[in-house]
Amino acid sequence: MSKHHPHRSNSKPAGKPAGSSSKQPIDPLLQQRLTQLGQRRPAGAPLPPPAPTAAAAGRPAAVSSGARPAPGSQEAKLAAAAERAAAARAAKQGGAAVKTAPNAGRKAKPARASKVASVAISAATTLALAGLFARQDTGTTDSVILTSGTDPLAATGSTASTVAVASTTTVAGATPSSVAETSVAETTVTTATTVAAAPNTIADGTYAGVADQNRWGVVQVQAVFSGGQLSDVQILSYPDRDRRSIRINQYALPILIGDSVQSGSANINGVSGATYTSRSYVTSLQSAIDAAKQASGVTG
Amino acid sequence: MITMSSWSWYLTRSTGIVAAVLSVAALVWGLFFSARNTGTRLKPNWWLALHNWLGGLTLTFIGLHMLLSLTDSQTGLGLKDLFIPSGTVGWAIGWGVVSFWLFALVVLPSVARVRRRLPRKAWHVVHLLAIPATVLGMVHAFQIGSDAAASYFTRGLALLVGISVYPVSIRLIGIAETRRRRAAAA
Repeated sequence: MSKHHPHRSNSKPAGKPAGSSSKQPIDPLLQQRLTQLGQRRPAGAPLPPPAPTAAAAGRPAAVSSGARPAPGSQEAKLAAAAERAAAARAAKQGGAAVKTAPNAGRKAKPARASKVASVAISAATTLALAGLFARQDTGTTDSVILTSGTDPLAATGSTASTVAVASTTTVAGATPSSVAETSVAETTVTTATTVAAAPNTIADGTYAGVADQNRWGVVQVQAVFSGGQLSDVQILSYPDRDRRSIRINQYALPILIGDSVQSGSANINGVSGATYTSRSYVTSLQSAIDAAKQASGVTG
Repeated sequence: MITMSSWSWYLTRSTGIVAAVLSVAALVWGLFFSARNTGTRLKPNWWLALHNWLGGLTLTFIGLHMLLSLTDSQTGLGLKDLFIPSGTVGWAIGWGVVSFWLFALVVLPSVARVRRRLPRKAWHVVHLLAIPATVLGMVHAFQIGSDAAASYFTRGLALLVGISVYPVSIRLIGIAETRRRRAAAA
């Protein structure tokens, strides 16, 4: 990429006084190049006259100039290449004499075929990958393993961490119809209070929140309180109509649960890529907390 | 059932993956070119032209990736989220936005011919931003999580890193050798 600039290179040493103590040593390659330049043209010798342009002469510059280039020199090679190109073009066009282009033999648009190929391969790969993803979503089984730390569906009583995805997830205390249709379902306290609560603290137990319907499905959670604090959040229902929803919720719900348990409230940030689930989760959890407070007689 | 939103999502993911591969390809081409390791069969201008083209194509696919993620209603992303990196939508997306701006900074001056007006050193520094841009793109892909757990993603990532090792090595060796030669000459 880097090209030598002989004028710039020559001018630098000349600009400094001879014998200066701050003189920088010359790179050996640069020294060699300077020597070559010095041998080519004696210092002070006049420059050769400019050659007429190829367009004006109708022939390559090296050929049209008066002086014939020395055999074997670069000029002679260039002239020969230009003559060959002109002859080939003339033969192609039926022997008619044509002007030689100044850039004969040099490609104006390099790597054109490779560029076209790269666009084609990229587009084809994009479509192929999209098709592959679609096939993965429709062709695979609907069971999914929740690998996150908190098993969102632990409360449903499913075995281990494998969840058979059903169209609606039913829970003790919430009928399927109420889960499916409502966003204003009444909060149901599913577990009786087992520990006598201290004054103004939430009694230990599990409290279910409302089933909040969003455009992708229903989210319902239940809050588990112990020692007056929110100790766990269990997912009763989440959008599971397609594999994509399952994957998104599989990723987002453990984050939401972790954040809410850590903060001890429903005042948490949403998860990117799971905006609707986040909003519904917060709505359901807030209603569960409100229900817990109401049941324990806690105000504020 | 595959909905329109699902197709947006599939295409968002696939354009992202292709953009990542293209960014690595552009980087590898550039490294081969700057290391003067272009062989004799193909001319340096072929390598340079293709390197520039791959850089432009990377930015195009990043643009497509962003456009598709905007049309996908389920991501809940707004126009602001796509251009301003912030923690409100999560840094998984934020790193992608940073990567986009870095690529834009590298590619657009070339397209707009501003490059030639810049001092050589300044352009070199700007050009080196392509390396963190590529790495941040990978971080974005890994953190966003849609494909990070899939085996093809990990294998593909390993392959891309493996492909990059050789040109990076020859470039670093070349730099070290030049420095050593200069030091010896001095």
